[in-house]
Amino acid sequence: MTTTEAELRVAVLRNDELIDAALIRGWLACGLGWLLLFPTIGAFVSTKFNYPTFLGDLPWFTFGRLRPMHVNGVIWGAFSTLFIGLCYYIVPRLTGVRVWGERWSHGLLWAWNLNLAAAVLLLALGFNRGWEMGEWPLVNVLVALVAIGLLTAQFLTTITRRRERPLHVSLCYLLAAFVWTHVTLVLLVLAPTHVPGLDNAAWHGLFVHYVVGLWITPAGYALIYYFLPAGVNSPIYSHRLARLGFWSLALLYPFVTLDHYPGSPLAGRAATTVIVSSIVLAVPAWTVLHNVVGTMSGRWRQLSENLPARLLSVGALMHLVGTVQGSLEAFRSVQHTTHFTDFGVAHSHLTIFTFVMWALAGTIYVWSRLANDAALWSLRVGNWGFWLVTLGISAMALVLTAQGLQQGFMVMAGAEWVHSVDAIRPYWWVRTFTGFSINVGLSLLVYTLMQSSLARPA
Amino acid sequence: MLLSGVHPAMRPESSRQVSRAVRTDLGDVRWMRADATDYTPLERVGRSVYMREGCWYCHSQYVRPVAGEARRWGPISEAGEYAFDRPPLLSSRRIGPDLARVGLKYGDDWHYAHYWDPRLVVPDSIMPSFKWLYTRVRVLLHTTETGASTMPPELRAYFTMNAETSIPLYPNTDGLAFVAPPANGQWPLDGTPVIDLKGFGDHPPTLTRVTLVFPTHELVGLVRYIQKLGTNRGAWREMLEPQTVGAPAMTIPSSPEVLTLGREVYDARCVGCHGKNGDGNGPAATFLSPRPRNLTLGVFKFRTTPSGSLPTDGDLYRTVTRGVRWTAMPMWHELLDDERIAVVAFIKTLSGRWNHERPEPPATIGDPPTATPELVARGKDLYQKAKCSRCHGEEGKGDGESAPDLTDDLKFPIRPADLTRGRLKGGSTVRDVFRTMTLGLDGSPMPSFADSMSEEERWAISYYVLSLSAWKDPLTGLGAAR
Repeated sequence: MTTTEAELRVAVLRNDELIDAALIRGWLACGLGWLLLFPTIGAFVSTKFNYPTFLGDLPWFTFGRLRPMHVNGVIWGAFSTLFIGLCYYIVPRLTGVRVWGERWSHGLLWAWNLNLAAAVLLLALGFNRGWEMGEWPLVNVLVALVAIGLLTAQFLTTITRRRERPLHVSLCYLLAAFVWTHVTLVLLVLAPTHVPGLDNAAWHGLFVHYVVGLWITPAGYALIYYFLPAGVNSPIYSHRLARLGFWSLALLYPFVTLDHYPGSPLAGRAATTVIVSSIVLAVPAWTVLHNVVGTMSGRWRQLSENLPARLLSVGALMHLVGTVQGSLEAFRSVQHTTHFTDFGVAHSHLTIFTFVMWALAGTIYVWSRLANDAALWSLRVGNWGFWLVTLGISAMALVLTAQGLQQGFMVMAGAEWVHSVDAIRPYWWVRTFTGFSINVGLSLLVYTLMQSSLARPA
Repeated sequence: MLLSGVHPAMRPESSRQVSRAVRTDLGDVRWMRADATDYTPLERVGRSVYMREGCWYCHSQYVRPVAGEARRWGPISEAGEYAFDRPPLLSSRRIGPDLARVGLKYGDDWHYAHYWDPRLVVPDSIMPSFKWLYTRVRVLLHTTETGASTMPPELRAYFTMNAETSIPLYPNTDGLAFVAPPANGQWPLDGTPVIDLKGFGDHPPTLTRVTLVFPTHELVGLVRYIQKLGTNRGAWREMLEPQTVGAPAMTIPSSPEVLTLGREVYDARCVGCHGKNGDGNGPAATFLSPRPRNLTLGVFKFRTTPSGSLPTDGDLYRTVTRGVRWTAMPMWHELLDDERIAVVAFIKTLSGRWNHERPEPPATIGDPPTATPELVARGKDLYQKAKCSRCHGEEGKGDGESAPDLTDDLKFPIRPADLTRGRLKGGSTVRDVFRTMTLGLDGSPMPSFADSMSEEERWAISYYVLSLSAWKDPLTGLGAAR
């Protein structure tokens, strides 16, 4: 059974009536703004490694305050804002109904942004709860929890009222991300100051991997399973594979927790479970890449003109590489050398940035769709942006992996501490360069989108 | 959640139990089971500063059972050590060194220098400065008829301005003078501050103003917290391998290559405290008490040679390798052998004394007698008779009646050791104490007792001195909870 072009056009237009274009553009524009800010803070933090007196002697700009700004900002500011905006596009189109409780959505955007801005300010002032990736002051966490709660209610209700009965795999991932994140945020509210001793660190390891694996990862998967087929006008290669990815993620990720503190008094027999499960995490990552290859099969030529598809495909490859690198890190023999070095930083950047690229891909796609499928203002600038970003993150991951190995081996061999620091100084310089390259690339992409908006016929 | 959250909480190790190294009455150090102790309120203030400033982003706080870590940092971390941490600051990154065992490695003075500007004490450091943890007061120096300069009123919060007691402050070339907080942490210090330029020797600079630097309450707390880290494990440092190194018999060549390497090592590691020409007046020196050694004099405390003699090469190598605990002189055991050897050769060029003198032969120290309670009691008796208490105090706390007025050979104030905390800089085996008593600590008021006491008497006092820190917590000097 084939669908004619006309029928397709009608379906698309009907779906267009379900979405709130202004709302989506609002969320995406804010997300893009945060995407320009927080990675730049990261580049400033990186600069301090080679120039420790960079940004002077003011407490608000010291390393210890800028770093949590960067980490929390890229997760909740850059990635999450874009993701939520894209959810407002995806959910109506996959369910066939308008989002329930739409009237809250604009207010929610305001609250979300104010929360992010407040968090930046409070972190600069030194409020820090002592949990890595969970430094946010309690008030910000509570606002985020309420926001996630509202969003979950919105999307869950919309989905239960759907006209399209079979549940698209993106909706599965999306719902899972929202539901699981309640657990994560409740943990963040309660645990840091209430759990005594080393058990606190155990819960923290849990928390860190929940944020990454049960919020960002399924959210990212939801995006790629929508925007890749949509972007190249071809169905997902295998829904079954995607569902395998879903269940393996759900069952395995919760065990990948003690990875955060290997070698500590915490690690023990439980550590073996952790190591095994983190190795099998390659399965969900593989399902994504396999699906990408399958979906793109016969359509690879489109990548030269189709920026979103390119970002998604390259991202899928990076995702597998990053995941496997993480699995490698889990082995005792490897982490003896690499733990505490920049090897772990390479892993975190490679993996999280993949999801940022996917969110960016979705944003570019939606931006164009909301402008009646207008072409990008300048594919050339977009390409420059893409390459600066992709080469930047790849180079960053390579450099950090190399320096992690170098310092790790030196320290294992008994090198004096400062000697090992001196040895990796050049790598830090390159890392800063790659960071700025990424920022320039992101700016070019945002600039292209901005110009596309301005060039739109009234 | 069950596996990684609830399950660890059910394990028996999730309690306060730690293994603690404790010195016994008869001088040896044993491992015992003990409970970890909580933080004091001031240490908690410091911990909150540590969290706020993000120290934990660069410094980890656990020692892994992985090749070399126990030798580098100290005993492997135990769960009980984190019993009072909410949250534990284990960290996942070592940009700087691990801090699980940093407590009492350095004196408080090193930390005050370090947080002001890390590059003063570690030139290659990339750690940020934390100058906002200090209060700065500018004082214009001008002589009035009485020869004193007028003090700004803000200083009355820090000094009583009691004219009978003077508190010397030793600025560095930048005109910075650090004021150490009182021992009990309660300002003001009793006395009037006096700017003293004798650290510069014969060529003092003309300073028109000085900036006095005071630690804030938060900073004092931070240093307290840092010094607490690892001390739940007691006197473990006594058994850390690099601390037990003896003075090897060695003769170091002073070829041009060795001296070039030595100069490189010195410039990379030593200038901040010891100064470019070794006069002990580096930029960090204003923070430090005791001041860094003036290497140009060729007078050294820790030797195997008789009093008045130069040290052997091995003596210098030993001091460089094991450092001087509880002071700002770090342990350099991680540096390669060649580098330590080379820097010793270089240090010898800093003083003219080596040009026309040679070290005397090292004193032979026999085997110690077996420790018995009777021997320790005899030592106590002799301690009183020899009037050790005049400087070291009745109970060995370093609070004897002469203690406040003691000065070293260069007329800088110097404090006698607090023996109750085991702060024996020359080494804390009974042989080390015996050696100190026999050979004295040149440059300081600690004399040699070789001529005034027999060998047997010196062994007795040595055992008594060790017993003064028996069962005590090295951090607080109080009886350790058993």
